[in-house]
Amino acid sequence: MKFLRRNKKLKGISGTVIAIIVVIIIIIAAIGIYFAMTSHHPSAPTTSTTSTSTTTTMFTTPPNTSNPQVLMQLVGLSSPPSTPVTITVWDSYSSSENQAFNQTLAQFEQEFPWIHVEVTYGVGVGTSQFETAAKAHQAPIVYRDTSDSGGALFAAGLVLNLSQYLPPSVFKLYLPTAIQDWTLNGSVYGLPDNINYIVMFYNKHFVPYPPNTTAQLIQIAEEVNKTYHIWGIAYGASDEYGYRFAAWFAGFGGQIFTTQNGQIVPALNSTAMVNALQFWYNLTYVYHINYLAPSTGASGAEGQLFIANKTAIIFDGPWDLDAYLQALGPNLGAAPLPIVSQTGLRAAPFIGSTGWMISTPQASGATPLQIKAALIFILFVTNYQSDLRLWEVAHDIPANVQAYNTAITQLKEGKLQPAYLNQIMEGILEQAQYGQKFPNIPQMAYYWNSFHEYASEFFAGKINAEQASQGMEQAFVQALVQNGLLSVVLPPPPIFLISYALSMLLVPAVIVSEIKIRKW
Amino acid sequence: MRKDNLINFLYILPILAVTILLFVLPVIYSVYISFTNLSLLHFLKYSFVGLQNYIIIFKYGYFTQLLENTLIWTLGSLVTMMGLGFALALILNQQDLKGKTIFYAILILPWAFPGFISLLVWQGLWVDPYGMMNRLILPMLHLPHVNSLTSTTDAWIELIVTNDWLSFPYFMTVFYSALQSIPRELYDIAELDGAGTFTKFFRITLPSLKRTIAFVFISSFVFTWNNFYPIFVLTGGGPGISTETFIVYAYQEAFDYSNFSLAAAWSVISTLFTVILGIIVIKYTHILESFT
Amino acid sequence: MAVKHKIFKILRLAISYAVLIIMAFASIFPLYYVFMTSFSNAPNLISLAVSDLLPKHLYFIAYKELFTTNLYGGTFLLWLRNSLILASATAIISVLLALITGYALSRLDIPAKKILAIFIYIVTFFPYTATAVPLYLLFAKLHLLNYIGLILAYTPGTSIFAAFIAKLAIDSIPSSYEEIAMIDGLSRFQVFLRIVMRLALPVVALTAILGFSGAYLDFALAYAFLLPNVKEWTATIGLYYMAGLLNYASAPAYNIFAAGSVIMGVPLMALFIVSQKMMTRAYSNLAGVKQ
Repeated sequence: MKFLRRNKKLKGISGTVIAIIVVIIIIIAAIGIYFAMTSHHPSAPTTSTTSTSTTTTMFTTPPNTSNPQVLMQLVGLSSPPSTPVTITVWDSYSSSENQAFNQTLAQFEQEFPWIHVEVTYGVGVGTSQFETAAKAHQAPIVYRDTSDSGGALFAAGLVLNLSQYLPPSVFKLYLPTAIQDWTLNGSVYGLPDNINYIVMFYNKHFVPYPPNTTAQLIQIAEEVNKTYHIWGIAYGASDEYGYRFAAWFAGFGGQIFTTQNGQIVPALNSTAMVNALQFWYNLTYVYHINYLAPSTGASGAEGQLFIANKTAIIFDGPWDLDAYLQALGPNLGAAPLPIVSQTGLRAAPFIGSTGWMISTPQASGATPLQIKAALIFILFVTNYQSDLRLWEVAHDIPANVQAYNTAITQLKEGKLQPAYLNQIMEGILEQAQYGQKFPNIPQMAYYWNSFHEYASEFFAGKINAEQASQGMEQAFVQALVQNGLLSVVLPPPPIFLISYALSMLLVPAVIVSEIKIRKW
Repeated sequence: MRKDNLINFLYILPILAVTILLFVLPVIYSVYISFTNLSLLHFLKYSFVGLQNYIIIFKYGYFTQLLENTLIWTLGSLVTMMGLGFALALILNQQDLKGKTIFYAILILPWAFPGFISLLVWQGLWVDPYGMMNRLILPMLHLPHVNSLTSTTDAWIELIVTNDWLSFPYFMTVFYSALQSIPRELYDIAELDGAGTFTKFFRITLPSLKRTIAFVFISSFVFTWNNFYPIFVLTGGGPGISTETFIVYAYQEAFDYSNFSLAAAWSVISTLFTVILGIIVIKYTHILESFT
Repeated sequence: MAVKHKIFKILRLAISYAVLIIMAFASIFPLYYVFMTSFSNAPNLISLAVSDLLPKHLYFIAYKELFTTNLYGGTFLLWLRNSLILASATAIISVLLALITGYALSRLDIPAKKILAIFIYIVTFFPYTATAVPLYLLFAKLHLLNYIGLILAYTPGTSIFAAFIAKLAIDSIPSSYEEIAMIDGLSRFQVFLRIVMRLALPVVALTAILGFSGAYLDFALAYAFLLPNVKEWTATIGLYYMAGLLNYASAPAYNIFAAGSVIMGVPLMALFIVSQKMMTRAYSNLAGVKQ
């Protein structure tokens, strides 16, 4: 017994030493493996800027991008190359849009047999899937996303500057609002295939005429409440992230950004925000005509109530049109958002756009020939025929000028079936005249959460409107500072870290005073 | 002896290799980038910035609020889930109970059914005033409405009740399994000695389960602390940030703001907490002796 | 005295049955919801009328959509098959890994065993959402963005946890069984396969089920790894796609989502129910009974 015990003790001592050595070896091995596999300076093929000087002089008028020859000339190819080329495309269309896209794809493959297209379906819009793939040099060559997400990618150097590859006349093929969305610092980084924005949907059974001003809106909603005992409006202002609320903010005279000392700073803290917030607060809690829905869209509470005839007015986009058409039929009406009676300004929603971009070779590893093929591809899928197809099959509002005009003509001639759809689409398209540009600067990414955090607290009755607008501006500024988009006094060296931890109570005061100084 | 040891080491090599590949390397990578400024703005050429992210977290970043939320979420969920599971296990453990198999089969369903749709269903159930909870169930029980949009307390109730529903079958299984293994003779002997129900419970049942409770508590504590989906789906951290936990916030930093380095820093801080708390519990309950 | 005992017993049983029935109802209610939604033609998950709970009409349109969609060669049945293969493979490897490790921890003398065990356990404390992106980047470099990579990514989660349970179970198997078998000429590994696995069957079942369901139900990692190739999608990816949940622009069809969940969930539930006896024994070694 004693003998065994002594052995165990010996084993125990050397055991601990071995243990520590083993763990250290594991960690060192892991670090070694990691560094062996990563490189801080990714060896990327040098980006060759294809000189388009020869082609620019040829295309002063908008080229016909439905003509394959023209497309090839635009990218500097006189004839198809001898070896076929493959491009990877991430498709973020919905199923109805895909019906149109697949036809476009088939046509493309016919006209350009030397370009093989590998499509990935089911990609989400506005996700960071692309960024993760780009980090691993696995980004697709062609990518479709919203203009604001694209703006952030462009600022990060992940998508190409199309102004360097295509003559300016090409961009005249698209609606000015659409191309504006895709322009950052004078450079265009994507080609739009639709524009999208919210409109006011209403139920004709309850609403005699679409309200033109907010005073009318309140009046109609109260009538609906009294007569039919359903909600006049269902607008979940506390659930949203500021995409729709921006329309009301603009209607009360506000703007999201302003420039100060050459820097772009948020301008959320204004009387416009206070008034806009208070307006919707009153409609919810004072007049009791608005239901603060916990979710938006056709599948959310708002849409569900609308479909079930339990609310008369909602604010949504044409992407949900099919669901409402199916439910309400000829009772469905669409109109632009009303004018804010207090200011005389229209509630102007974001005119956003979704479109096609090409990744930089650093992100995708593409060769110059693949880039040319990609350019041909995105020009093709945003040309007149392709865009018109999207309109006819999926009711996307076209961004291609020709397609847009054809759409308007179709509506005026009442060509859409069923007949009542024409009037609905007219209402939807009318809103396009009264929108605001969807900001695509990198700073925009930090608007959403800042708005949501304080708007939700406001509508929960925890803070008042002034505190909410101040709070969201503060949060916005903080986020910008944290992400290096706004320069502020740099934190002192780590020696003072302890004192910072202790002085956490003083942080709010410090931040507020910094902002006050800047405003001054 | 040495050769035997080496061959024996081979038995543990697979799990070591997999752990290194899948956990150690990503952890090292995350810790590394938490000291850089990797974000969408500094994507292809990022640089080492030292403790800047951590300074930002403590200076600007809601640290105390998130810590409080994470503790409420973890402890609130755990205590209720374990309590419920334990109670059900005790009930099922009664010898004279009929229909155990059927009851157990039904009660295990919340765990068996895909969580991704259960969460969405619960999201719909909690809508005020249209979801079934506020429309039917709560009025039936004479309880007030629960509206997670307007009240933080309500939001926590919603989160914890849903989490309880999702996880109680697991605890029920664990405790039932452990209870079943306590030999009947112990209870019989105690009864002969004149022990009442409570004495039997506190002197026999609980001590036997001490190891089970400790082990399950640690694993579930870490799991709940890192559990992202329920909060993300049900309240999104709202109202405001009153139900945001470390992990939900880190996810938002990474995927909404594309600020990967800051998200990594948050994850590191969050993990430090779990590791420290885990080590404290392990030391306190001495359960590791039985595992090695 | 006997009467008092009898009253107490009746009270105890009554309360027990009441609690069980209430909890059973609570367990089934949301699942009933899912079933009803899958048989509706409205794409909603928020039932706005109590009458929706007892529908007058059963629509099969969701199921029809589910089985007739063909996305460039990808169909739901194909995706389901992929999921089953993936999940089964994960289950098998998880079992092997967990049991080998548990056996080693229980029986074998390994240098630094305690430290290694603690190390392995603590490393899993790091949150999943933080390891997801580095994992993706790492696997992209190693060209493991496929099924093999996925299986590799799924196994440690269950295996590490199950290894400790397995260790306890193997502890309770008398080593004399193995010694006799080894004297009879079997190698240690054969002993492991034939005797230990069979006697630790509850733990094997538990690990298999947890490993299976973890891989079967995962969306995030599968989406990141498998997106480019439609024919390789798992059922979860396919389901999210068909229900329109991947793209914010399209209106989600929750009845399709519910139908898919029913189809995926029913076999899983059956698996749980069938192995419930073993599951209720898997943790029995966790209770340390002080003699």
